[in-house]
Amino acid sequence: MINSKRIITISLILVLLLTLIGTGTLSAQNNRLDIAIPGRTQTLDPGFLQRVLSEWPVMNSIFNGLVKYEPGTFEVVPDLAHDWEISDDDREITFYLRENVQFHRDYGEFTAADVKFSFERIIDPEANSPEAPSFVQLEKVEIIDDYTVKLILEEPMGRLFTSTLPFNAGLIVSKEAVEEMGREDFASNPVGTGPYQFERWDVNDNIHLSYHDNYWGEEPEFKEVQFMPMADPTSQELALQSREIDIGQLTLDNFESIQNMEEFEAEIYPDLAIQYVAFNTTRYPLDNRELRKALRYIINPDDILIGAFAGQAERAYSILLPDMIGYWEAPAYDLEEAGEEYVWNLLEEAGYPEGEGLELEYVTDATEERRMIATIIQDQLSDFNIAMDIEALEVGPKIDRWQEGSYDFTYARFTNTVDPGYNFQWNLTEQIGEWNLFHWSNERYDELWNEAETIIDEEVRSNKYIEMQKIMDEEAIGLWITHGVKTPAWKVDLNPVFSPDGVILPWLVTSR
Amino acid sequence: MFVYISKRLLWVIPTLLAVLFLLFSLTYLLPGDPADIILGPRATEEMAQDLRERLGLDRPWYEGYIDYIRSILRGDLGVSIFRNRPVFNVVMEVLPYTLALTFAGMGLAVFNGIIIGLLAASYQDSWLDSLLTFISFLTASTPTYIASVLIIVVFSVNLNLLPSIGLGEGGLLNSLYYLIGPAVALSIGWTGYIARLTRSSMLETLESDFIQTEKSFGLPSYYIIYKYALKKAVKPIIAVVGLGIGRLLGGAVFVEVIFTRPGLGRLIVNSIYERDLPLVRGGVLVAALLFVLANLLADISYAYFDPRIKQE
Repeated sequence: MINSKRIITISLILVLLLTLIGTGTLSAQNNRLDIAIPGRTQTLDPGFLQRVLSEWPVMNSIFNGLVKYEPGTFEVVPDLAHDWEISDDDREITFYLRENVQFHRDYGEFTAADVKFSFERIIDPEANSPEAPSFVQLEKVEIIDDYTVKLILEEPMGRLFTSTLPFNAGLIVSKEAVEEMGREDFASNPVGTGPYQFERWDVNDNIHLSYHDNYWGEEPEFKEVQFMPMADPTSQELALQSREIDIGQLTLDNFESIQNMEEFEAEIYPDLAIQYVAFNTTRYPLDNRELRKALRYIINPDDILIGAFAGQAERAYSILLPDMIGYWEAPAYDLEEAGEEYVWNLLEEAGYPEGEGLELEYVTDATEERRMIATIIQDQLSDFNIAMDIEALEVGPKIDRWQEGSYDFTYARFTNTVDPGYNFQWNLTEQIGEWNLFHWSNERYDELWNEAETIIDEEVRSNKYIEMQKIMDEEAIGLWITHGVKTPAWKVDLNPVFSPDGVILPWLVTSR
Repeated sequence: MFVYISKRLLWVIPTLLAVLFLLFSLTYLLPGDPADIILGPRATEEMAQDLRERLGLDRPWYEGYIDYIRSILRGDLGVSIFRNRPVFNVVMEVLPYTLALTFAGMGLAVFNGIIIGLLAASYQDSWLDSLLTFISFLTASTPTYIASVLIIVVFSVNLNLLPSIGLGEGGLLNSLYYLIGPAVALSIGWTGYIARLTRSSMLETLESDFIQTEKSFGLPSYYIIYKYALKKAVKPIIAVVGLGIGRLLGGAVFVEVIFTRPGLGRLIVNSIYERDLPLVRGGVLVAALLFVLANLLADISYAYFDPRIKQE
């Protein structure tokens, strides 16, 4: 009959061959860091990024700004500018630039002309850059000499040093390269002064960077970096376990099991974002402030953190992360501390004794996590006889409902930056019908926000934001739940450095 | 035969028109303002307006649809919102990887399926037959995504034998090595199907008169199986290959996403995530075209093997 021996022999040879090729390719790439990132990078031009955070690790490796965040903190320190002076009226800022800084791929020395070019192309109304609001008060940039440059502002600009200059909008591109290639080609062929230069974008959307020989700063240990977009978190975890990536992100479901493995380390960082419950303050019945105050006690964020975040995420008491300018800790509104009796009384004062007759419409995303959160809140409300109707929607209809204001309350996650002005702008009156999910308007709040935008002094600015947070708290417009988490994991033989929100800084990674 | 094929080809046109209509309606069927959803809170009003124009949302739908068909006929699939490149180029860049994966998966399925089916038929009703039948049923009912994850967990994570992501960066041999896991995962479901088909077709052939005659001449049974029975039994299998290619194209989506390989499936999934509508449309259109072509191929091969149609 059929020669099964031959089949077995062939299969054995195949397996053997596999093993041979296998050992060749799977051994660790000694000088390259393979880093998984959650999504495909859309553009490599820092002046035209649509999203706020996802491109940051790549941008940060290729470009420098005049200033940067000190690694591991949000403190702003010199980068391409070694020093600066601020005029008395806070409207002229003179930067003294580092000399002998070279652009990648022979695009010459970095000078004041590159700074002028990089910033002015963003404020050019023709260019339509999504970063334009980051430079809203910038009038022009003046070149004093090759190594001195002056930013002239129409009004003092609060967010200049907190988020504009050290972040995407402040990154310096090579004037010569952009002019030579044109904006569109530059977006896939970036030229900066950072530790790594761009090599190629492969068909798998991986971004390959290599060490920039003329880099002005300290030489990184790893000479090559590969950013690999992997949208599926399970794939990232498996790739990490099969040692095909060096650094990746875990899901909370598997965090503990991987953290306990000897070959890997993992850590939890707060995400630079805010997740919150927003009450629709203009629609019956939650236009009733007393009722909103009662709900703040009834909705317990701690249960949500346990149920939907495996108990690994920290509770948020502000839109801001604790070490940011203007941080103010809102009260916890703890039901146990206040006592149920107190909350029943609040409900009665609001006109709903025994919670009877209350039925609230809740709009949320159709994801598993958000449905879980909804169910937890529903359960908490039912203890006070309040019915809750959950509507889990796809993004499109959800945004429609948000903008129409056709809901009683909702759950949202907004990405933040390090600047409070950016993070607090969504609650302004002008954002009603756009992204103000409270449909809330407060004159004093708007006034304070506008004032803070034009203040550079950190303490004065900070006080404005604290007052704004107290107003939001007094008005009981919502409840901050958590900042969420980032959970990077890496091979144990690496020594990675992360920003306070868990973003990898590849050029600082060393091996043990 | 010629008439039959021409008829089939003509049927492709309404199918594609329907697909185009569905794809075009995407922008209108999806609730919400696409500009808001695609660009998010950071977009300026000018950017949103610009995008609405690009998506044709500022015009009545029928005008947009006619324009859309016109540009498709010119071979213009539009420009990707986030890649700023013609959709056609983006799709063509990844298409070879999907085709390679699909054909490798089909090749494996046919090869393994026929061997398993032949063995089972040759040892009919023995323990080997039962075992192989069990295996065929098991593989035929394993969804592709489960097979993918299983292969990664066993061969990549635990045994460290196969890579779990990417394409490899070496020559042909290295690329083939990176293709093994994905191709096997993709082939598993269809392997079981082909094995069952081979077995039953083989058994039927072995009982037919002409084989009985061969047997009565005293020819050795392996000679009969190879020389005569296999040739006849393999015909229905070839006929289903076209159909299978269409099915495997669908399965390739899962495999590409799980194994992080470039390809049409992953491209479509990513562009749905990003809500890059022109790219979603272009990707799905090409996938639909392939599917239609594969089915056409299946029809033609059926016809070729079916003497009644061949006669026509």
